[in-house]
This record gives sequence, C-alpha cells and structure tokens, in this order.
Amino acid sequence: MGVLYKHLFWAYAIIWTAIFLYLLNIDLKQRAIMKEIAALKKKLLG
Amino acid sequence: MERKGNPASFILPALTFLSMLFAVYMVFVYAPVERTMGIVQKIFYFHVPSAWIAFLAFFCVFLFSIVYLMRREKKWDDLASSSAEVGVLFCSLVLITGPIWAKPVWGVWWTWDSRLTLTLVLWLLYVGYMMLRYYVADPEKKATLSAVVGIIGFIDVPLVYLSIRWWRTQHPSPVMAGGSDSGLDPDMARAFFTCLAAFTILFVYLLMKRVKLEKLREELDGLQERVEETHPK
Amino acid sequence: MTRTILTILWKDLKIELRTKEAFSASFVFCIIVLVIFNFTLDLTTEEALRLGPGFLWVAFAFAGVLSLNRSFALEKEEGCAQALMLAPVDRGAIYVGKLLANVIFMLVTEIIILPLFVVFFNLDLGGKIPPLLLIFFLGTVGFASVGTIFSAIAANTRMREVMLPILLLPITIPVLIAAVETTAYAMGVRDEASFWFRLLIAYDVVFTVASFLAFEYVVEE
Repeated sequence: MGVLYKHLFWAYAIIWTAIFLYLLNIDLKQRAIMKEIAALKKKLLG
Repeated sequence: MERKGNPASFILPALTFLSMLFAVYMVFVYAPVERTMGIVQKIFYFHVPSAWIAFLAFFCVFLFSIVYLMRREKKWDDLASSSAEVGVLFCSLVLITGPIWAKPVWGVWWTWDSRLTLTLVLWLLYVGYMMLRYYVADPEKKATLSAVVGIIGFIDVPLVYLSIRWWRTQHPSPVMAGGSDSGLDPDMARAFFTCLAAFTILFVYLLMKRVKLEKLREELDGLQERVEETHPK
Repeated sequence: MTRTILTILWKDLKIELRTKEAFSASFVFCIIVLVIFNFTLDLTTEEALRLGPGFLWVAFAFAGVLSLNRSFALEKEEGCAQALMLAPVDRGAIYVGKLLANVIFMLVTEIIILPLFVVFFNLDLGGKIPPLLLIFFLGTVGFASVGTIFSAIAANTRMREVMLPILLLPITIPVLIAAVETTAYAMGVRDEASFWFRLLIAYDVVFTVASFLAFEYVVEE
C-alpha cells in the first residue's frame, strides 16, 4: 500500500512542479522584458 | 498599453486555478478508489489529460503552421511554436507519469505499448522541431522551415500509430490486465472529464502566456531599434 | 517540367560520377555497420536471417542520412542554391530531380551491399532477389521523399549534420518498420506482409506528394 502512495505522490509532485516551474519561468522572463521596455520608453521620451 | 488593470489578464489565470482546485477535489475526494489497482489508479486522472493536451497542442502546431504559410503573419508562428513548447512539456509529463503508474500496476517501468510508444515518437518529433527553431538564425526562415516540419510531422502521426499498432500485434508482449478505459465507473468518468476540462483551460492559459512573452520580445526589439535610431552611440 | 527534372538529376549524377563522395561514404559506412553488428551480436546464420532485415535497414537508413546530408549542403557551399532559386523553374521540378538523384544514390549502395550481406552471413537468397529489390526501391523512395525536403531544411541550420538525422529518423519510423517487415517476408522469415506492403506504398505516396507541395516554402529566398 505504501508503495502505491509513494508512486501517486511522485506522479502528482512531478506534474505540479513542472507546470509551476514552466509558468514561473515565463513570468520571470516577461517581467524582465517589461522592465527593459519601460526603461527604453523612458529613454525615448526623456 | 496598461497591462495591470486589464480584467482579461486575471480572468484566465483565476479560471485555471479554480478549475484545477475543483479537479483535485474530484480526483481525491469525489472519485472512488479503484478496486484492482488501488489508490495509484488516481494517476490516470492527470496522466491521460496530459496526453490529451500534448495531442491537442501538436494538432494546434499543425493548424497554426498551415495558417502561417498562407498568411505569413508572425503571430501564427508564435502560436505554433508556443503550442509545440507546451506540447513537449505535457508529452514529457506523460512519459514520466506513465512509468510511475505502470510499475506498481504492471510490474514494469516501460512497455512498448502502442499508446506509450506513440507518445515517445511524438516527443522525439517535436523536440526535433524545437531544436530546428533553435538552430535557424533568421526569424522568417525559422518560421517557414519549422512550419513545414510541423505540417509534415503531423501528417506522419496516423502512419506512426498504424505501424506501431500493427507491429504490436505481431510482436506480442505480456497481456496487460485492467485496461484503463474499459468500463469506467460513472463517478470516475465525471472526475476524469472534469480533469480533461481543467487541463484544456490550463493549456489555453499556458499558450496565451507563452505567446504574450513572444509579443513582448518583439516589442522590446522594436523599441531597441528606435532607441538606436534616435540615440546613436 | 520533365526537362528541368532531368537537368537537375543529370547535374547531380555528373557531380557524383566525378567525385564519388556520396557513394564512397555511404558504401563504406554500410560495411562498417555490418561488421560492427557481427562483432557486437555474434550471429549464427539462422539468427542472421531473422535479424538481417533489421540490420540492413539500420545500415541503409544511417548511410542514407550521410548521402542525403550532402544533397543540399553541396548546393549551399558552392552557392548553387542561389542560382537554382533564381532560375525560372518550377520548385516542384527541383524537388523531383533531387529526389530521383537521392533515390539512385541510395539504391546503388543498397544493391552492392546486398551480396556482401549474403556472403558475410552465409545466407542463401536464391530466387528472392527480385522482390527484395522492389522492396528496397519502395523503402528508399519513402525514406528519401522526406529525406530530400528535410535535407533542404537542415542545410539552412547551423548544425545541419546533426539536424537531419534528428528530424528525419523519427518521421521515417513507419517506413522503416514497413521496409523491415516486408524485407523479412521476401527473405522468407515472415508469412504475411500485405499490411506492411500497403503501408509502404501509402507512405511513399503521402510523403512524396506532401514534400512536393511543401518544397516551394523551403527553398524560397
């Protein structure tokens, strides 16, 4: 029985971690680019 | 240009989050424990929808690639490449969770079962697609060439499936008892379709987020060019 | 159309006759594969007959990748690709010409490797040669149909030697399985292969047509 729970746990842990990391990765990249865009816009206006 | 206040930007993530919470409730509280396979059968509720998302994503690559070749607008290429990336992610999840499920149930990590093998071949095809994109420098060339691979690759899928199916019948392996889709209990079916819906929403959310990243990149490139024009070094 | 096809084909054949690069590379490579198989698996004649079709097609596929890689890489290096694209000819004709040349290069290697295979593993293939040649032809057309367009695609990348096999081999899985199974049938190790024979033809038709139609997008400047 314990083995079954272990397998179940790992399957869900891997799925959630992978999706979470993927989202986090995109989000961080988006933030970095938006920061750069804001800086460039300031430079263009000022 | 204001992004923070846009209501659409939090409706989709909120919907994704809520539907996922509901899916988890359906899987762990609502659906009964399967008799022969036990608790580990619950992997099924997320394993199969992952496979569904992978197939849906690769089909989207095919569609968006065709539209790209007809219209030549960058957004279709963004959609195609983003779907391919999300598809490879879910394909990998299927290939990882498949063995985790198979080991306690069938006693083996891997079997050359037709669905599992097809998933592996698909994974190889679309990893190739992404490598190709990485190795072509010119953005328009990259889009056209990968669109051709996206189309030809998808045409191959039914042929791969047919050949693996037929190959299986000639090279028999130990019979796997308890096929996952043979007579699903109605409560289980309800939980399963909830997961399927939740994953489809998740797919749309991931795809949109990934496409937006491409758009931001494009905006940044445009701005950089303008800065270089107006502020020459 | 026919004239363009023949001109392209003749051009490639002439280059090959002069340099013999594609042939020598894939021929030697095929022999190496057979020798390696012999040492790594230590086969008896009976086993060689059972596993032979697989060996042959593994050797043909990898040797095919070698010669296909050169198909468009050569054009790129010499700047011929540009000239070819500027010429007012149908892109489809260029594809067919290239495909024919690639099929001929691969077939020549395969036909020379077959007797060596027979000798190496002491087989007796007597009257089975004509059906075998037909299967070699059909399998090679299938492999080269996608191979030709992918070779043009890979020629545009930074890592073309690696990109071609990575893209091509997964996509050719159906034709490779079908070719191995029909070859086994022709050698008398399988009693039934009508499904595989039909799959082989279906693959040839589907991918020759699809690549023919898609080729213009690959070579546009």
